[in-house]
Amino acid sequence: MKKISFRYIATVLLLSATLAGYGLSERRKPDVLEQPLETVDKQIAGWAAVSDEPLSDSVLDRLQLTL
Amino acid sequence: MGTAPSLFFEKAVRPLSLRNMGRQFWVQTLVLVGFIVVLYGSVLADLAHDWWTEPALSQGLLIPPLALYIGWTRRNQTLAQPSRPENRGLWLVAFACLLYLLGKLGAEFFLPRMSFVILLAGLVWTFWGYMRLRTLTFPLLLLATMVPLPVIFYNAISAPLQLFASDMATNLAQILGVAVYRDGNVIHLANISLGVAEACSGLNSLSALMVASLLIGFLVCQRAGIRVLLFALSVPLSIAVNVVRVTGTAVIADYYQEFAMGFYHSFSGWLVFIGGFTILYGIAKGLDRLTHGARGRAA
Repeated sequence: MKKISFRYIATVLLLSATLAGYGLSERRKPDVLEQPLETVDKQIAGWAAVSDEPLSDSVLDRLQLTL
Repeated sequence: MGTAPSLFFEKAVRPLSLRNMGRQFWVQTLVLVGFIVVLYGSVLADLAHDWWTEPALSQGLLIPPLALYIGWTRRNQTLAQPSRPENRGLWLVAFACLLYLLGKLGAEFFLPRMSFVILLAGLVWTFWGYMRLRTLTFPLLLLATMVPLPVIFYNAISAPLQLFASDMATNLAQILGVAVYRDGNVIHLANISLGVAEACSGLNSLSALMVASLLIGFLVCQRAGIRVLLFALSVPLSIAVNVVRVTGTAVIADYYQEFAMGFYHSFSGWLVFIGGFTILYGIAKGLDRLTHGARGRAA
């Protein structure tokens, strides 16, 4: 059996570290809102909220909503 | 010492036979592919979903098979280069991993997607060497264009482009004798007002023409400088053809609203792309002929 090259080991280590980093980032504790969004004023500095734009499923999935 | 280069060359030009690879090679390859699938499976699935559902990004569906095909057609050139694995390639692999993590931590799509292409380049550099990576520059560059522009960039330039197209189209329509005035991105005609929407900013045709300029440069031009020039020209050209499109809509709408807002509005998107493509092709041919002529005279 041939000796495994340093390059290969280093590549696998880098990819493993990335995977571990990704796994840890997915386990972040979700933040809790200070106050419900409904309580935020619809008029801010001359701007008025006119509609509540719905977010797509993929965006909601990415944001990992905490209800 | 004197015989080493020729031995190396003989080894390099030997055809790549996958049957001759040992079990260890396949296990190592499978491990790397496994890592890539786990890391990038969802990233690439999301990207494919965007190509499929967003008409403005649909050209992305064609890019990976095209890049693969071009890489395959150049395989003799690639394999003719000596395989010289380099540790320096690991820096590129590390950079790709860093971009991936940054993108994931920032819940951002562009960086993980782009890191996939950088990782591929890094792996080629690490295990095959820089010379082989150089022969694959074009397919990798083409593959990078499959990634849509970051939303932050898109949003930052789409509004100025909308206003520019509206302004230029209004001026051109006035020169053509149409009574028209502009209010922001709304063009007011005698009987109708046209809003130059985000989709009419020219950004959609910009990404398509940038890909087209890469392909034309690869197929038509011999010199790298001309390919770069062609790629740079695709930006002002796409903005210009979009202005012509908006102007055409305004002028036609002044006479025939239904046609302008119906068939012409849908069809002109294609017309603009074909027009831009033809102009780019003409420029590429002209520049290539000029440089060939200059080289012939010099010889």
